[in-house]
Amino acid sequence: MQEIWTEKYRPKTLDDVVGQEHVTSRLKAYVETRNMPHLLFSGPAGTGKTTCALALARGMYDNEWKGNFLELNASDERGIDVVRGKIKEFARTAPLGGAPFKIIFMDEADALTTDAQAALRRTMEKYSRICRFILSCNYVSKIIDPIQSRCAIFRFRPLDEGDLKGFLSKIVEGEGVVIDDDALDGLVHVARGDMRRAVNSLQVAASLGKRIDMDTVYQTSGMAHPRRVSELLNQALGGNFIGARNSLDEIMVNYGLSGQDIIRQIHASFFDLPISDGDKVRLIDKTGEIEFRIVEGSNERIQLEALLAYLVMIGSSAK
Amino acid sequence: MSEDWTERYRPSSLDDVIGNPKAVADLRKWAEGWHAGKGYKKAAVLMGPPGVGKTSAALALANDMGWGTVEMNASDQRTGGAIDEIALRGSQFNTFTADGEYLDEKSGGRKLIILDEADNLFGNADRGAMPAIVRLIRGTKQPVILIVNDFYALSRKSSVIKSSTLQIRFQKPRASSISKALAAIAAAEGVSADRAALDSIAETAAGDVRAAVRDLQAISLGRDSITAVDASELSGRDVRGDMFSLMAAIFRGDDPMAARQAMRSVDESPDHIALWVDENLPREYRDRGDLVRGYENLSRADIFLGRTMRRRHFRLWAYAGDMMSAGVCSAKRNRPASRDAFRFPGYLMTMSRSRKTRQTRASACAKISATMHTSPARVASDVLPYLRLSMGNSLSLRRAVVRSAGLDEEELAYVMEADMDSDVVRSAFSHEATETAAKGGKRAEGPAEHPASQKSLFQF
Repeated sequence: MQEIWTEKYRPKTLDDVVGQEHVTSRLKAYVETRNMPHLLFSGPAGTGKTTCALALARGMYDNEWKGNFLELNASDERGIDVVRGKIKEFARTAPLGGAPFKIIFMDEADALTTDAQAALRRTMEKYSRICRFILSCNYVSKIIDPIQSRCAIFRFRPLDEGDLKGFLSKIVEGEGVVIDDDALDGLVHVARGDMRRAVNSLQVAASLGKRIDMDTVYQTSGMAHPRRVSELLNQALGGNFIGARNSLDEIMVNYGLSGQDIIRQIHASFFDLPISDGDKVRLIDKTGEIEFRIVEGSNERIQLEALLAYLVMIGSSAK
Repeated sequence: MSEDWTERYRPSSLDDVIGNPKAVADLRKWAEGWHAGKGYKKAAVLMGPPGVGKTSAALALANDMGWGTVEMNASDQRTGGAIDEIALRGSQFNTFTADGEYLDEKSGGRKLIILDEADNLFGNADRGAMPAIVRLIRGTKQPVILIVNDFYALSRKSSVIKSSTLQIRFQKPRASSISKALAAIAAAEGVSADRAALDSIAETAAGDVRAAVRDLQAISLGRDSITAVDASELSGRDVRGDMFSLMAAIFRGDDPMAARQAMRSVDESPDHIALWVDENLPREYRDRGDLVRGYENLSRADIFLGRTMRRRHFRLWAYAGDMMSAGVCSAKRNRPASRDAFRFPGYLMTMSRSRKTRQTRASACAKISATMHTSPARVASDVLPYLRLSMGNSLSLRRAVVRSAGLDEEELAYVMEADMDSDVVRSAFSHEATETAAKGGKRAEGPAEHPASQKSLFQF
């Protein structure tokens, strides 16, 4: 049966987790002693934070893990009150089997505002007898100090090419896919240490045909979003402001990307733009300023448009 | 007098519909085709702005043809089930009129099924309404009329609606036609009205007949005669007049302080005005330098708006207003060349048109995120682009995701960026039997089981 491979091949045990040995060795010790402090996992996307949390819970509770593990997304459960309600409900019943506490995994904790984090801290305090928290974030610096000081902090590193390649090879074998060596290297290179991206790209490439070669990988890497973002940049550089604005609307409205998502992708696409290095540097400076204004202002679309207008001007001086 | 004139003077025959001779003729021809038993399109879509007579034309048509009507409009709950029921009532058991008179289908007794405001299929309550409308159009044994303001909102969901309906466009009638109709109503009500008064009402209504009739009734209340002075009590239905002169002061005027003054006299919040400035800025400032300077000041204005809301310190609004009016006005070095009409903020229209899309996106992402330990926001930004491609090439993956996440047709259509009745969506919901059969034996199927329909990434 077909499945989404990121889920199908998600490692079930800490032993199977790829890379991050400095993390998994500690977590295994927690499983053995049936005890653990609050944890803070930090690191880029696709490096195994959620996978480790799930594997840890499986290790602690075996078959009872689902009843003892609560997964929350800080970025979606708007308002800390909802989060508190869920935590309260979860913490009402005693843990079953295994360890004498339950585990609450809060993904994307750095999406919480400072006030919400302060509230979260009080909640952690209140339920710490019955619950251990695992918070996950991209940047530790976005987590308030009082929470940091209550957690053991684990930094997840981008996976190295060997780890990515080994894991992809296992999937290739499991799915009976044929892939050229250089194509596998290409996938690994494009993923830049992000396992989720690597596995997703592999699945897309495999869906295009039974044999994956370098061409397929090249196509796969020219994926949907970045292509639209570079389209928008090129429209602006070509002086077509209104066209670029329409593309921006489409990305924001139809794909649901936030201003932050988009500016992140814009920032990543600069190096392919047909402009001088001096202009690239000026553009980076302006983009940083605009990102700051998105945070500070009220309408992120207007701020992004100001950036597009700047691109229009750079485009005209380049000619 | 208490009765609403817009109802009392609804035309009873197509001959009395104001304006739109071509639309009326097309509609009549369509109905006669049905009558002759060879309806070449089972459903007609009447489209056009509010108040131009779409509903009136549909009702007048039914009257002219001697058909009964089954009506459903936005105030009804239009779930898929409710539409199916209406369709059933209208088409399968077509034996009695509303008055209980027996009508045999063979003797020509028909019912016209009218779905009013069919483009407003918004909200969760209307879930499943779209497939039901498609079923209705496909299976109906009775004439169906869909009434919409925005045909695009309806047809983008389903190509069936585009291909199997006759689309009839209603235009705004001219002020002179409206004025003539108002004169007839005034006469019937015994109100003496001078020509200038009626012209003024018709002018204010800007093509909206319903609004004109309502205004006439409002002014005539408690009076035997009305004059142009009475009519001038009416104010326009929106504030665009003021907004337009504000835009003119900002973009085409050369006095920043006058622009600032104009800003203060408009009764709209600064964040709303910012959207107007934003919409028109690139259309007005064609010079690149003007454009970038204009946006710099608008961007500064937006920062003040953000700070106002965040700190709840409303004094800061004044700075936002000054920057977007005087600031944007002073940003130009070139004489503005544009003489085009200023535009309503397109973003607001996009947002209202896309409300349903956004709801569907939210529910699709939430359902998928529940199956993969990832937040809905991350599903939208990092997962969907890949999933869309993999699923596009693999029917069994589409089925698997539909089943494990519990997606409905609308959500899958969003994920695949396809119409709800496209093959890519329908195939994932049909032939459950073959799927189960295949599960028993060894799967011969490789990763790409449909080589013929394979898509390259460049086609997306």
